[in-house]
Amino acid sequence: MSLCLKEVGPEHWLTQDGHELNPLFELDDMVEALKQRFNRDRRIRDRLEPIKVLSLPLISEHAFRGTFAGFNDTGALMIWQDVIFDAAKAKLGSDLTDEQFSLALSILQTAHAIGQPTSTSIRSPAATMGAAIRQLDNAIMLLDAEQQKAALNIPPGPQCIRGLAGTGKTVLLAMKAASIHSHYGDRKILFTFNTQSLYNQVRSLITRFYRVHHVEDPNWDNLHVRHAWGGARRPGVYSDLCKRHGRDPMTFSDARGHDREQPFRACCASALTAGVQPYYDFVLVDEAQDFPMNFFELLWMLSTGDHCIYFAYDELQSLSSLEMPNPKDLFGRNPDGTDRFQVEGEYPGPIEKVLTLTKSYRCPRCVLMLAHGIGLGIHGPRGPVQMLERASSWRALGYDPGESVLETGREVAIERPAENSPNIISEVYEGDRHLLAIQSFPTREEELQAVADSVANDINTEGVAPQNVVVISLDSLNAKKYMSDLQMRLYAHSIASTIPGLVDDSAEFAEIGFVTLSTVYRAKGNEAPVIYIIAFEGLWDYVGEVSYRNRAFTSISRSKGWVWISGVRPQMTQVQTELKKVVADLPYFRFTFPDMALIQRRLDPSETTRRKVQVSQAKRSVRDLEETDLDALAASLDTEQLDRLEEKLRKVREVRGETE
Amino acid sequence: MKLNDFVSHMISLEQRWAGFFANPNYIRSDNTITWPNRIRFDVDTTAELLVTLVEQRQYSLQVLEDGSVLQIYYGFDHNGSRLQEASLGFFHAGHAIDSEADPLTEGVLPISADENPGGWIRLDYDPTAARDCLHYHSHLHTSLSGDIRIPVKRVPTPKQFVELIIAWFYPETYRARRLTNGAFQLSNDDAQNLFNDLLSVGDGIPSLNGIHVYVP
Repeated sequence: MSLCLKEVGPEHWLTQDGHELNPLFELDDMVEALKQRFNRDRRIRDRLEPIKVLSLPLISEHAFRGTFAGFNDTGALMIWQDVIFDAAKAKLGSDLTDEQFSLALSILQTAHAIGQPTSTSIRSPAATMGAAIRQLDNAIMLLDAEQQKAALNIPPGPQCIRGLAGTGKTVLLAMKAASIHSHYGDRKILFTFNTQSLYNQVRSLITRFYRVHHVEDPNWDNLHVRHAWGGARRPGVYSDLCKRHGRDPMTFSDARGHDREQPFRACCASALTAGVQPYYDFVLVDEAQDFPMNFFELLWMLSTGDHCIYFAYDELQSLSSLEMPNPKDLFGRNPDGTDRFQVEGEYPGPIEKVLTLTKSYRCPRCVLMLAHGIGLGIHGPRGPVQMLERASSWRALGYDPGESVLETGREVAIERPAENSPNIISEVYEGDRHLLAIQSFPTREEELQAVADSVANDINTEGVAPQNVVVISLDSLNAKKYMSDLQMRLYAHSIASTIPGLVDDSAEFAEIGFVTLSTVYRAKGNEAPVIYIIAFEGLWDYVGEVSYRNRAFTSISRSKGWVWISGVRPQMTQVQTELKKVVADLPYFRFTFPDMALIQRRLDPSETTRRKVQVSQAKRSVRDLEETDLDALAASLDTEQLDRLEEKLRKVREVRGETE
Repeated sequence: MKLNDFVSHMISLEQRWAGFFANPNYIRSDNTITWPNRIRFDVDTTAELLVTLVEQRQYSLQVLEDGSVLQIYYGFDHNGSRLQEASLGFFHAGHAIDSEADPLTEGVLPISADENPGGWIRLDYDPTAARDCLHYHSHLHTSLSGDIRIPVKRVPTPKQFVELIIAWFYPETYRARRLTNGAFQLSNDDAQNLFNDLLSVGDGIPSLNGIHVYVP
């Protein structure tokens, strides 16, 4: 940015258009604030002395001082067009240790605001899970180069941030929101997402980042944190919009009447038809993969000027479509037919229009790969349910397909290099508990009792804090029943537990002193070092296969450390075989590349309906067969038909896991 | 009945109504049955009241099905033999659509015109605060108005209070678990425990509402 200066005095600088500023005062404030931030941590207290550097790179020192004779640099080091300050003046008395350097960097990035780097960050062998978790928690939070760009750049137009589970998308968007709000306090900013449990988390993250530079909380009148839809208890993007335009929002039943598959899509469509006035200067969208396309069109209309819409998505976290639509298609087209979001090229800076986060920090590599292997269904009973078709898509997500040819029927081997999953748990933990435990039980009661016993062992022997344990039921419909039962069993072990979100989806997880018992949906957006997933046998459900795999992926990828997966036999025996097949090949996925057309059909919502019809038909046919006289069957079936029926029944037993 | 009997009642509730309650949070503290950091809430209710109570863990038990909360407080004398005060509250969550019940709506919070905001009742027993016929020592508040105090003749035990709440607010559950063809399924001992502690029932057909609430 260039400014034309009219006057430079000791108190203020005056620009030609009448603005007052004094960069030297601003520098003083910044240096003082930074000094305080460094001094808050005793490991680098009094080790670093921030220095003031003022850069006026478009003018020479001689010309500037000649024009503004009253200029006094008050001790700031200067960068002129012709002179760069003497770096020797900014040298440290003695070198920083690696730990001190990382810490200083973390403080500069403001990343320290999410961690609690209070004790040593040096890795040492941990005999118990609790000790390993403490090391994980105390690691110094540092942003990698990709994350830094995602968090700090404020591009003058849409920006897309792609990243897998655990790449820090929510945190980075929160940092970005806090940074925009710091720079442009009077602008209207929207931060939106799909999962309600994110509400408190996002507000708390933004507050923490904002308060690194400010003594007060963010001004929530200008920075709106909103669920996309909204409801009676809490405003959302859609309900706010209707309110501003004096319209009644569509009720849930109305919306569902219009669009049974995605009621929210009907809301967006109705808002777009009625007209949307621009309101927000900046829009940040988390979990973009969960929204219907026309929500982005609505956001385009809602945003002012350059349409600064920054959206983060994880294409492997939504099984509702094959791959996220090309970002350029998201916002629709201009009247002249050109794309509204021109993905090609860069913004000035340069700032990238599409950023890819390849490193996943949350999950250990084996956990993340199990989540993906199961989510994609690479060894599923009917083959994969979802697949990335292009090698570039795999690479963007931190996988390496090597020389594999991604064509139907070809055997492929896709690796996840260790550097893309830098979680330290497997390095530091030396105890007996495996990161992945896969179990099957004869009855649900036995499964729940085994989970209660294992949780008790984690807490009492392995030193895990109760709030670090989350139990998730893969079966949503019966989840409450299982959780209530498990709560009693944990109580018998004197372990307190909580089922959050019975009245409010935004209820917080990880309440100190309590084990969390949750449904998959409520676990979304949260994480914990120890995850238990029960009723996992549902994975092989015929009708709801895609939905179950989606839930399995979300559940497993919540873990920062250990995962326990269990279910009830006989179906769990089959599921176990699939899980073990995925695990045996790690860190590779080895499978036969599927037919993408077949996958597309399976992902089509009509496939679920077709399967429901098949189930009803099977029930009807069996009933008819049972009710038919034996003599009638004997008279109408020939030997070949009987053989085929016998073969079919044998296969049915095989699928049910009832044969060896 | 004494404090220890009431404590046993509380412990037995989860077994008695297995699968109905969640998140037990009641404690015995000195001569009271209460919950940690109990706050006496203002009777003026807001739509956010229930959420606030849950967020602050201001309850003895939650109802698993909808998250409604029960607040059960009894204060006894120093011997634990004489009831000195009680406050028994129930905050109903209403009938919001459960987005999880239908996978198609997973992830959205529906705006529903007929969303029931819920409501609450609270039975207070506090002889020291009694003033006149408008403020009887034992009375029932409802969320209709903080000034409504329906005089109540007896203070229910924990079992009785829970029985009332389920009968009033979850009649289907009550029918399914307690009644056969409209008559009580309880064994004689149970019925004795449940209904006869404070008031015997003459005609053998206990009427839940008639037992505890006496309008003069």
